Amino acid sequence: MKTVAESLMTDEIRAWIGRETPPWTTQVTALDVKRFAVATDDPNPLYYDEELAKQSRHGGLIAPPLFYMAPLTDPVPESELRPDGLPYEGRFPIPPTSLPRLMDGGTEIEFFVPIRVGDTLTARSKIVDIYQKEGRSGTLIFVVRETRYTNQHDALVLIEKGASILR
Amino acid sequence: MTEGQQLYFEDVAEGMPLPSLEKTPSNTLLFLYSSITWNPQRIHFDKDYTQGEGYRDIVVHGPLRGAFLSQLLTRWIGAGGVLKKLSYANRDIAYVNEPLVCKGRVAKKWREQNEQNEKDAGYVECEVWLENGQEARLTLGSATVILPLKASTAENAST
Repeated sequence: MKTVAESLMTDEIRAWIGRETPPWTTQVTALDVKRFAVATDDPNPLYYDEELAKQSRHGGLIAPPLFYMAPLTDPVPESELRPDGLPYEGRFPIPPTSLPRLMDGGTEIEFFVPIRVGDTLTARSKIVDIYQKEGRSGTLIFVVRETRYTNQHDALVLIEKGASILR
Repeated sequence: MTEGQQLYFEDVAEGMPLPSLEKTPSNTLLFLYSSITWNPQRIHFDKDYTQGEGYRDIVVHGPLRGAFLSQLLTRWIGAGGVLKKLSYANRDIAYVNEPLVCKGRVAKKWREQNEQNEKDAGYVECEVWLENGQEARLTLGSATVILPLKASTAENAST
């Protein structure tokens, strides 16, 4: 028999399900793609060798699969950073709960078409689920977010599902 | 990356290990990754602060570990392969200047119509993970890739 734990899921927290983040757009430049490839120690020439990339089936430079993470953070002035260096208000707000710690609960990505140099990506993000679970160390609240990226042709580029765990 | 080295669906068997990829992220690499992702979090560059927070040393960014796993896959499947799905979860902390070994194993393979171009395609599902030098798994993940078929290459060549 499972013991019934106290529910931390209030109506206020539940109301965050479906909450959207304002969409943001980003230009994919050859310089940023090369910088990302170097910063992830990825020597694949499809990311920086224009001549070789032209002869590939992509017909031009593409970006590494996880390049979309590069322009995720909106720069804020240093005065708006917490002592740990993160912004007080990030791109993805989390509902206020009584649980003090925030952990990464994993990332799931489905890719549809490659990110290409010259693309304009638009990202739309929303909270798709919030639920409580009993972990070994106590009560956890999972906040699941889905972000869809499309390019300038309105083609779906990728869908990222990420979970944050409050404990 | 050349045509002769392209991996085909027929080359892959269930249970087969992926060629592993070793990374030892330095302070400089972490600095570059913080920069390109505009990440001002201090546990990735400020050693005094990080140790004051109870960590042994500078912490490797979680998404950088994801990027290493994606590279394990894109390197294996070559220019003719497609990374279709990747999921990963970081369990334990990874520290700067310590080896991380990206590893994988083919879990299953099947043929199915590719929804993108409606052609018959070879799908391969892999278990992937990141180990430290003591073979403890710090990141667990799985991936689906699409590999070209030798049969369809021969067909294209004859038409």
